[in-house]
Amino acid sequence: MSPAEEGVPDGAVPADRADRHAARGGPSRRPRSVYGVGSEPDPRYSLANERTALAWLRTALALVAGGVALTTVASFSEERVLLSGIAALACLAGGGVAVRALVGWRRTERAMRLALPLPAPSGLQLLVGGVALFAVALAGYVVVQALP
Amino acid sequence: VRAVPGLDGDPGAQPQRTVLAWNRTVVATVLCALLVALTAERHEMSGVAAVAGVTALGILLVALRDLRRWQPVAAEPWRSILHAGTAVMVLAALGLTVAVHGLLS
Repeated sequence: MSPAEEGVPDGAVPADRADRHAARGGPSRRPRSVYGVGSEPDPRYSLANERTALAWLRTALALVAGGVALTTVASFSEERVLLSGIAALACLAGGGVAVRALVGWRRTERAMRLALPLPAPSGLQLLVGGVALFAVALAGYVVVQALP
Repeated sequence: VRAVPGLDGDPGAQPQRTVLAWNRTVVATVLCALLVALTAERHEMSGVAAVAGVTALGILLVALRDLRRWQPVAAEPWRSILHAGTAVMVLAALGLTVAVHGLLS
């Protein structure tokens, strides 16, 4: 659901929230490129944006952990180069997803403050395609190993 | 999480869900750092293992400090997200080092 559909209070900051805001230095909230524009969205949307960034970070961690675990398999295996290569790609993808988590949080928070349409979830197709390839490659490897 | 002005009667329990998401993320980051440390140690890459161990401890302390300051309204989560994201990027770089080492050896 987009903020526009739920009736975001347009710029009206309740007194208690304004006080807290002032107590924390008001316009010094960082990053300026996000908090310097627009008006405060419904806090629930900001919290949802925060959780989305954290979910992307955990996805990145899963890619890194999978890649690192695969290096152990590679050291036992005869396909050391292939598996190490996939492991390296998984770790690289994990780093990329972590960057995307940070960039995505800023873009979304900014769009919500400006009451713009939320940016599309960039990189999602690439990630899903990459993980699917990764899974197929590993499944192929397991089948090759199982053959007599 | 205490009752929050501006979120009274929020049936979605948004602050609680967000703090729990933070908890999951911190636990996952520390476990991933320990996995990298143990794997690097197994590959006899003590330097990588040491950096991963320091990352595990560092992100745990930094994230716990960040979470003490966490608040759901007029929030400023960027620094906390940046800290967690940096830790993940460090782990990705360490994992890449281990993988490339396996590729070349």
